[in-house]
Amino acid sequence: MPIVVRLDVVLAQRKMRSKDLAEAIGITEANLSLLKQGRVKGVRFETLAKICAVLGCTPGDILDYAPD
Amino acid sequence: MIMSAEAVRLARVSVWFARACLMLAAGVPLLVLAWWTLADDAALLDGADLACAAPASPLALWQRVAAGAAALAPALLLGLALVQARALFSAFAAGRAFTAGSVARVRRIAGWILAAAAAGVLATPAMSVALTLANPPGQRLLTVSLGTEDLFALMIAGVLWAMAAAMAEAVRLADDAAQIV
Repeated sequence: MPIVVRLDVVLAQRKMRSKDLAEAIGITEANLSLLKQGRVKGVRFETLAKICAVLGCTPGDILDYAPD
Repeated sequence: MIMSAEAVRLARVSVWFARACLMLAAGVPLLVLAWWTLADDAALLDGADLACAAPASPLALWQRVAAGAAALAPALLLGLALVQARALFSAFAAGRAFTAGSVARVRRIAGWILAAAAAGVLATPAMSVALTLANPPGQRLLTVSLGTEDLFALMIAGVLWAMAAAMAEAVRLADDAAQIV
């Protein structure tokens, strides 16, 4: 999968726990964990917007493109 | 997962449908059994459209048992369909409409309805033979009947089978959507 999710890096930089982020954006911790591992089929714009609002970042900080 | 208003309505109604299916699954075969146990000969023959072949002597026990068994078969098969329907509605009530289990249940309901319809068609000749076999020669009947209710049951079974195929696709789409956060 060429899309790389760097959410764990941003979380560490903001010193925020996954549990708190999941609660803030309204998804389950399990789904957030799958997102961090890149094991989801997609991310809704709404979810992405909420993550960026809570973490104070842009989508480019969380998602990267690295072709195989 | 947040359920839509439609899904909440389905869940609420499904509780009652599940209870109704359970009552019918037990009640229908019991009613058939009660009928063949308690009804008098004239009523049994009339019910089987065999009043014209009424025997001179009372129906023997084996005749009641044989004809009753033939009549009970479609009722029992319909009962099995209703048991599956109960399980399906229970799953709907729990918010589990689009699962592989629900698809399998719809297919099983279709199968049991088809079996009940076939048993119903076969029951008519079986009952006519059982109830008139003790009659003198020339007064025994073999009745074959195919009515609109049999065709309706076949149609329902076919529609349910097609719905199961559509539901299977819906399950696939639901699984896909669940993997989008």
